[in-house]
Amino acid sequence: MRRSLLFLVCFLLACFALKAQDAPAVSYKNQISTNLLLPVFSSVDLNYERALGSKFALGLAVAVYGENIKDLTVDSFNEATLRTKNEVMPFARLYFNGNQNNSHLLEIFGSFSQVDEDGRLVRSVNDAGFGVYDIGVESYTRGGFGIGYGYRFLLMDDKLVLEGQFGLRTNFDLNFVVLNAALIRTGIKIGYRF
Amino acid sequence: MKTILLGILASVLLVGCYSSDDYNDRSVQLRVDNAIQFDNEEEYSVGDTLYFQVGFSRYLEEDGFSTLLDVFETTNDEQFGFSFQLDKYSDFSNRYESVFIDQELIIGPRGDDANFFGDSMVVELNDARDAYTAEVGIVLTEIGDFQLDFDFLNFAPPFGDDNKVRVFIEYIPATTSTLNLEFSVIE
Repeated sequence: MRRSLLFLVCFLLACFALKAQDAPAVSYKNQISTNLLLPVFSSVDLNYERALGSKFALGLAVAVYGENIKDLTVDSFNEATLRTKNEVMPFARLYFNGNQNNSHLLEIFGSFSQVDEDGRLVRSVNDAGFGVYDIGVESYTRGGFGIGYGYRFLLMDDKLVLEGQFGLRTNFDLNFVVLNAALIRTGIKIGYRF
Repeated sequence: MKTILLGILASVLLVGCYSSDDYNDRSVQLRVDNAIQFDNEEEYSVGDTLYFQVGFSRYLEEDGFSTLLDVFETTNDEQFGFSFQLDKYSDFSNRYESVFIDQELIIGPRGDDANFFGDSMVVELNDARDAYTAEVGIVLTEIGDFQLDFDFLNFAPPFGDDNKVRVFIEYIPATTSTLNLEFSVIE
């Protein structure tokens, strides 16, 4: 899998190197993309964004995570283990060189994620009608906020997108005095503009 | 742009200051307000033994829940440790002062040192298995004005496995309690 990804990235970079100097006048307002890093962690995401004005874009991302995604998070505390199952992330982007050009980008995003927390006290009611605690899994939804930075290449007449991004998301949980953090929306994305 | 970036970072950090700390320690805290029964005769003689009962139901109310909590099914603990104090009135200080009682003068069930702090008394699940109870006796050996002191009465589970649920129970007397804990010992 990793070798295939590396090959794909090299191919796209080669395409970029061969790209003509003059950019076409066509501007695309819509973009869909997916993170090539996530399948390595048994996960997948899909992003849609809509260009607004000359430098901004708004979008929505949906991600479904597998077991291995916990390698990218520091979201475990005490005896409990958190596993984020899926996540919806509205985001806003600022393209420093404009949203129709190769550009550095800054992103802020919100997060609504479904989480399984293992090792937590779970209260249930037994057959006799009394409450009983067990140590088990509790599922719940939690909100978060993140920021990201990256660079986006536009290839093949600006229709093909290749971008690298680093993103951090917190759910405002504290580990002592430090906010929790996870590498969300981090990786290499490939996409299509239309 | 730098200002915007710094603003975002500062906001994240400041929001963290108002976030709750999700400490998850697998313990449950409960309160009881009627854990003591004391048939106080108010005047005893040296050599008498004073008795009182300590205990709580196996099924206890828990804040935020409409159903009673089954303490035994939750913990599998058949004993909870506790301790109490005896105070004696002192003319020197004009107040009650804690006095140490020789353990040989205290009658009642005790926890073993492997599971409870030393000298802990224990309440035990009764034969009906619906309450934790203990009867405690104190052999009275000196004259004076005394009071039983349950201000710091807490029922603690045995030491042990971190992977099990532990229930801690605090005794807070009801504000309407008429329990009289003061008594005198005469020759």
